Amino acid sequence: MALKVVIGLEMHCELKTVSKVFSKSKNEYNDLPNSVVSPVDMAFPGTMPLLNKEAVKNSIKMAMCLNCAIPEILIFDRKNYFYPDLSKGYQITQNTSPIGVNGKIEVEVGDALIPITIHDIHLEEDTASLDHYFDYSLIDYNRAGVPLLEIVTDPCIYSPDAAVAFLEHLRNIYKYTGASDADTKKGQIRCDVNVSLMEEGSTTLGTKVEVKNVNSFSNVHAAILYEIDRQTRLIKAGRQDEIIQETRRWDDETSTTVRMREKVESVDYKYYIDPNIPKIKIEKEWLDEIKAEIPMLPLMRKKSYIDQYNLSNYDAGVIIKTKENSDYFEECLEIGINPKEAANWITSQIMGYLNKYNLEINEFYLTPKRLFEILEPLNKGKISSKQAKELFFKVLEDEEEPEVLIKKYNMEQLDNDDELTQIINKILENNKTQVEEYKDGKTNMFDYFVGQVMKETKGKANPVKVKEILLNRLI
Amino acid sequence: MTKEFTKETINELASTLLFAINDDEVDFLLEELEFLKSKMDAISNIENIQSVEVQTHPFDLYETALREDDNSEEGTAIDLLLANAKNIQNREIEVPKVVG
Repeated sequence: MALKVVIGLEMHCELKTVSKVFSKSKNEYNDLPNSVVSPVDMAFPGTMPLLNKEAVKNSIKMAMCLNCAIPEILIFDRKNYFYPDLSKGYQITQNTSPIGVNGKIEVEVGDALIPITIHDIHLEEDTASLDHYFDYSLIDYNRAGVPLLEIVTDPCIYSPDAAVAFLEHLRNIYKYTGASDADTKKGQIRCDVNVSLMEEGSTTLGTKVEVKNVNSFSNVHAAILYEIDRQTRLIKAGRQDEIIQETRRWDDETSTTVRMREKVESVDYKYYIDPNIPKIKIEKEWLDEIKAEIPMLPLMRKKSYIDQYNLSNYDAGVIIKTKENSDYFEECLEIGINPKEAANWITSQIMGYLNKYNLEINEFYLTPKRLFEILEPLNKGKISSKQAKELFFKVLEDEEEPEVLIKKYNMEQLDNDDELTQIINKILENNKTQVEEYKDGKTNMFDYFVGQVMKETKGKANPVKVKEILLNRLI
Repeated sequence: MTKEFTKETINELASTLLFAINDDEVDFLLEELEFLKSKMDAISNIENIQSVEVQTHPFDLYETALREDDNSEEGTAIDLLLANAKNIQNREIEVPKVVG
């Protein structure tokens, strides 16, 4: 019996705003517990929520990017549950009329484009964070009230790779639009993963298991693989009854999923419309303004790099992988670097260096302007390609301008005809046997002479000129 | 008619919600819930009640102006913020651990 995995994702991402979604507390990550908390975030009596316009705007941007239908009237609901991370005893979220529904996008998985349908997108407030100790927990309310956008897919994803590709694509859209920094290191993204297995060809979905609060994409991948393996073993052993609708959590230490609770016992959240928040009418003019602010998104940029600049699919893919890389590339073009040359340097030298030292391109000393200052003398024949590569590393090591370093390390290419002729004459004089061999038809000796000249000039000789002069001298 | 409350239902709910509850409290809750149930039943008996839209906002007015996100305020002073908390540890509120 062939089995097929069916995955649905819920991705929570903290939005980028100055203040929180319903209060004027700072929306910022702060190590000092309970330092960015207002009476609203603590649900002190008499406080009222005031909806942040920027949070709504960022949510609408995401809804537009995911081709969702956006309702004319926004409504917020109360999701009631009792837990220490929730100061009010309910979370303000959206259930009746979410900010986006019925979306659809295509995501690249390898060479294929796969469709993913979005069930809904809703804006809500984040909860406080809890640190658990042996027999007590500590509550830090800094995160309480941070605007959180939840994107819920249909069960339409059929591999762990596709799930991660979708999440990476979403993270990119957040960054490209500026709706969020989408930084997993700061815990700004958390995912719930729904996994079930069904028989290949069947139309009936299997029993769904939800793995909650997975906080990195690699763990999403690992959690799905683990669930596929666990559920497959149970089915093959004839124990499918043991796959029950339940909530599990990912355990980092054991790299397994662990049961939290059975779904049948899960809390009924008793959603109802929050009467403290007015119904909000979204004006068409505002939607038009928001739409105009959305920049070209990753896949569109990729297509334009391939069509306009003739980049390879691979190079274009590497460049659009992050907004920062893509912006770097576009800045290179703006200051006059040839697109293919910029792409070659970014995907090879620059990415290699950044990966080796675990750096981000926006904290990279070698700005597009400095790259231009390396490539310009290269293209004018003043330095060789070997020297350009050396200069690249010297700029990063010494943190000095390329122009200064070319002089400091005497890197200018030797292309004076008289000087080169003198050096070549000397080499031919010292290699008479090899010259005879060349003249007798051993033409590969030519490269030997070029190599000798490069050795003599410590790689500074202009190879084009060297070849020209050598050809004349060897006639 | 809504479902009958029994001692078993209350004990089952208390167990699900991780509450310890004694017999006196069960009796008290049973009485309270029966009273509430009688009110709910009275409402349920109103003709066409299912088709009545829930009223959350008394007027059909819509907000269009939202709070501008142009500034933020400093957090509340910690002694004031945690003044009502029973147990505090390193600027955080200490509560019993309720997850495994």
